[in-house]
Amino acid sequence: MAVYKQTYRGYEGPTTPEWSRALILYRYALRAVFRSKLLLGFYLICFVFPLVDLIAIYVANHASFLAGLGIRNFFAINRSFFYSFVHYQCVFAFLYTAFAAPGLVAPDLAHGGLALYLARPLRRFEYLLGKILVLVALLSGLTRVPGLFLFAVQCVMGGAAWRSANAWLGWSIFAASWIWIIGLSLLALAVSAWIKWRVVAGAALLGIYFFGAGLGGAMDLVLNTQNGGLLDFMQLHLLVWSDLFRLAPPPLALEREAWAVLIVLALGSLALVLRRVRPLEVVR
Amino acid sequence: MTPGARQWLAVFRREVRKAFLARRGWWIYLLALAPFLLFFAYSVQTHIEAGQRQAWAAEQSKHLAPSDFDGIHRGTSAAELEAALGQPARKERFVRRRRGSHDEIVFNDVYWYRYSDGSTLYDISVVNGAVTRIQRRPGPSLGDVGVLFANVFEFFYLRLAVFFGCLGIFMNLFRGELLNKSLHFYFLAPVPRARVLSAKFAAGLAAAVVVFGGSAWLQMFLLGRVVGAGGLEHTAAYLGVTALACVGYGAVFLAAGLLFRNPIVPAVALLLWESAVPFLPALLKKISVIYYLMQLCPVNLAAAPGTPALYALLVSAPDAIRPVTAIAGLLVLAALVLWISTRLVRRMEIDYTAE
Amino acid sequence: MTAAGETGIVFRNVSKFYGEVLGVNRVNLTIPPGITSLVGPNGSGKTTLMNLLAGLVRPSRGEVTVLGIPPEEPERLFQVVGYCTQFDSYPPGASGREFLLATLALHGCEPAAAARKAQAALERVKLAEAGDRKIAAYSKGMRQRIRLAQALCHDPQVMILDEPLNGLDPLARAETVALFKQLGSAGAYLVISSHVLHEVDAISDQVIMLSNGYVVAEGQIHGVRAEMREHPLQVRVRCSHPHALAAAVIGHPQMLDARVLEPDAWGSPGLQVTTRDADALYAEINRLMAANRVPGLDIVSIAPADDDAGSVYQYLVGEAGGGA
Repeated sequence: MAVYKQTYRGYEGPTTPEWSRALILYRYALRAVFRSKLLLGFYLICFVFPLVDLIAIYVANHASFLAGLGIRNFFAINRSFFYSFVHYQCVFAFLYTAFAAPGLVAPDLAHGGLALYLARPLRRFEYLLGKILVLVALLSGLTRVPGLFLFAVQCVMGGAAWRSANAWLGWSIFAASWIWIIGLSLLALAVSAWIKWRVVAGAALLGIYFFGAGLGGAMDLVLNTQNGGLLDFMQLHLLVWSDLFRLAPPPLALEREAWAVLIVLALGSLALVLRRVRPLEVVR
Repeated sequence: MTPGARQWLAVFRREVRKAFLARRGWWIYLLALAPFLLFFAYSVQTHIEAGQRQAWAAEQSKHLAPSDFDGIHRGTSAAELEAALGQPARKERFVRRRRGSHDEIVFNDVYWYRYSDGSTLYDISVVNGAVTRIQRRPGPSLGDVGVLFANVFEFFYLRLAVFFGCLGIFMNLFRGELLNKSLHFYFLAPVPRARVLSAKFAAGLAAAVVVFGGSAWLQMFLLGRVVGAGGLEHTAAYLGVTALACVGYGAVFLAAGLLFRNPIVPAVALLLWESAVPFLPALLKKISVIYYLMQLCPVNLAAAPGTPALYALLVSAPDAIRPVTAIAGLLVLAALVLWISTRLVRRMEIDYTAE
Repeated sequence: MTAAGETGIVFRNVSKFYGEVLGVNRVNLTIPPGITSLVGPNGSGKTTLMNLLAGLVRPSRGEVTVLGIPPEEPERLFQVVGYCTQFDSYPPGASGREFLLATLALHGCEPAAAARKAQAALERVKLAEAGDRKIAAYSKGMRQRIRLAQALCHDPQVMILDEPLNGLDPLARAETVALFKQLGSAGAYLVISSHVLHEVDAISDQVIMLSNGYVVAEGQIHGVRAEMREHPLQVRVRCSHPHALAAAVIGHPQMLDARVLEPDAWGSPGLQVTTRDADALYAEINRLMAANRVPGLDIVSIAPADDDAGSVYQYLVGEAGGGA
C-alpha cells in the first residue's frame, strides 16, 4: 500500500510555558524523595530540635513561671541561641542530605536517563535547576523556615525592646541558612554527579565531612597553625556565621579566608556538575 | 600449578588490577597521601625555620640565650620587651578585625616580634602595647617528630584515612560488583565461592597494605629526614599496625558489603562504635578493631603532659595487654568475620534489580 | 513429562518466591538433551527458572539438579554448564578476547589452552576479527555474540541461553540458530528462552511454556497441541472448490465448523475446518477424492493452521491473561 495519505499530525495544542519545565523535574524528584518512608521519617525527626527550641523560647520568656519553680538565670534568647540553632540544625540537614541528595543525579547518569531528559526541550540549566530546587526546598524546610519561625515567635514574645535590639538577627538567620543551603546543595549535586552509585555518593559526602575535619585538625597539629578549620566544611560555615551573628571570632580571625574558601568550593562544585551533566558520553 | 590455584590467581589478579587501577579509586590514593603531604609541608616549614634560627640570631640587635625570655610574659609592655630583648629580627604588623562590646567593628594592630636564641624561634604578639602571647618553636628532635607522627597516626591516619580507605576498597569487592552487575561472572564459573571470597579479600588487602603501608613508610622516612635520621623509631611496629588495621577493617567492610546495600550505615555505626570503645564494657571492647590496634601502637600518647582528657581517652590503649595477645585477638576477630562472610557468600543470591 | 532420567536437567517440585512475589511455583520438569525453549510472557518465570538452574538464586522449595549436580556445587556444575545471561555488563576496558581469556582462566585453563579455546569461541560466533577491540565499542549484536561466546568457550554440555538472539541481525540469527542445531543434534542440552515464536517452532525439539510462574505446557509442540482437546484443531485446505468441499465434509460428526477463506497470495481459494480429529478429516477428504464426490476438486495444500508455538501460546498463555 503506498503511503500517500499523510494524515498524521504532531501535537499542535497549547504548551506549558518554558520557564515552568524545571518545576516538572522538581515536582517528580521531590515526590521520589518522600516516597521513601525512611527519608520521610528522618525528615520529621529533624524537626525535634526546633520543637525543643520553641519550648525553650516560651519558657525563657515566661521567667516568672520559672521563678516560681525556684529557677533563676535561665538562658537568654540572644544571638548565641540562634547561632547554636543554625549550627545544630545544619548538622541534621547535612546528615539528611547525605541520604537524600545522591538519588537526584546519580541514577540519571548511571542508567542513561540524562540523555532522555536532554533529548526533550529541556536545557541543562533547567535540568540542574529542577534538581537543585529539591535540595533548596528540603534544606529550607529544615533550616531557614524553622529558624525564621522561631525568630518571629521570639519577636512576638520578647516584646518591642527585644525586637528593636535584635531585628538584625532575622537577616543573620536568613543569610546563614542560605549560605549553607547553596554550598551544601552544590556540593551534594557535584558528588552525586561524579559518583554514579547513589549509596557510595552518600558515603562520600559523609567522608568529606569527617575526613575534612580530621585533616584540618592534623594540619593544625603538624604545622602548628590554626588554619585547619578551612578544611573543615562545618568549621568554614561557623567562621562565616560568627561574623553574621556578630559573635566573638576565634583568636586568629579567618572570616575572610572562610568566605573565600566557601565561594571557591561553591564555584568548583558548580563546575564539576556542569562537566558531568552532559547529554552524551563518549566511550573510549 | 593446580587448576584451583590457577583459578585463585585469576580472581586475585583481576581484583588487584581493579583495586589499584580503577578510575573510581583515585580518592583512596588521596586519603593515603594526605598525611604525607602534610608532613612534606612540615619538612619544608622545618627547613625554613632552621635557616631562620641562624638568620634571625644574626639580624636581631642582641645575642640572646633561652634564659633571656624567662622574664617575658603576658602583660609585659612593648617597651619592657624591647629593653630586655633588644630589636627583633622581624617586626610584623597585622590588622585584626574584631567585634567591640557594642557590636561595632574594631581594628586592632597586632605586632609580631620575632627572635631567635640560635636553637629556638620566639614569636611574641603585642596588642595595644602589651604582650598577649609567646610562641616557642624549637627545632624538632627525633622524639618530637616521633610523638608528632604518633599523634597523626593514631588519631587521624588509622581512624580516618585507613578506615575510609578500607571502606572504599573492601565494600567495593562485592557491593561494587553488584552495582556494576558483574558479580555473576564469578558465580557462573566453576570456582567455589569461598575461593572467590578469599582471592578478593587477598587482593583488597594487598592493595590496602601497599597503599597505606607505603604511605606510612614514606611519612616516617620523610620525618626521619627532617631530623637527619634514616627514619623514625618503631617503623616496623607502625607498618605492622597499618597492615593489621587493613586486615581488621578489611574483613569487617567485606562482610558489611555483603550485608548492607548502603555503606553509610556500617561506616557510621562502626565509626561511632570505635569512638565509644573507651567507655564500653570489657567484653564489648574486644569486638572492635581499634581496641587491638591501640594496644600495638608503640608510643603512649595519653601519658604526654598537657594531653586533653577526651583526646587521651581516644588515643590510649584501653587495657594493658601483651602485643602477641592483641595481634592474635585481631586475627581471630578478622578470621571470624571472614568465616561469617564465607557463609553469607555461599547463600548469596544475585538480584540486580534490587540494587 | 519426558523420560530423560536422572542424567538430565531435573526440577523436582521447585518453587521460588521473592518475598510475596511468585517467581515459579511447583515446577516438575525433566529436560532432555536437545534444544528446549522456554516460552512465556514477561514475568512468567523464564529467567527465574534459568537462574535456579545456575544457582544464582536458590529455590524456596524443592530441588534442582543438572546432570546429577546440584547448583550448590558451582565448582562441579560450571564445568558442564555455560550460561549466557541477559545482563549487558562486562569488565571495564576489556576486549572480547580478554573477556574470554579471563573466563577460561576462571575455569582453571592453562594459558595456551585458554588462548586456543578463546580463538575457537570467537570464530564460532563470527567475532574473530573484532576479538581484540574493546567490548565497550561493540554494537548490541556484537555484545550479544560475545556473551554467547563466553557461555560456549569451555565446551559445556549444558547451555543456558537467556534470549540469545536479541539484537542479532537476520544473518547472524540464522548462523546462531544453525550453531544451536548443531550443538543440539550432538547431544548437548540447550535451554533457550525466546519471544520469537516462529523461531521457537523452527529450532526447538521441545518447548516449555510458562505463565505467571506456572508451567502450562511442556513437550513437543505437536504433542502439546494434540492434548489440548478443549481447543478443536483448525485445518486449512487450499483447494479449487471450497464451497463444495465444505458442504461435503460438514456432515461428518468430527467436523465442527467450516469457513471459506479469502484467496491467498497465489490466488488459491481455501477452507478452514474446525475439527475434533484432524486424522478423521484427512481420511474423509481422501475418501471424497477417491469417490470423486466433489467433481473437479483440486487440493493445493492441507495443513494445520494452529499447530505451532504461536497458536499454542495464544491458547494457553493468552487465555491465562499473560504475565506482567
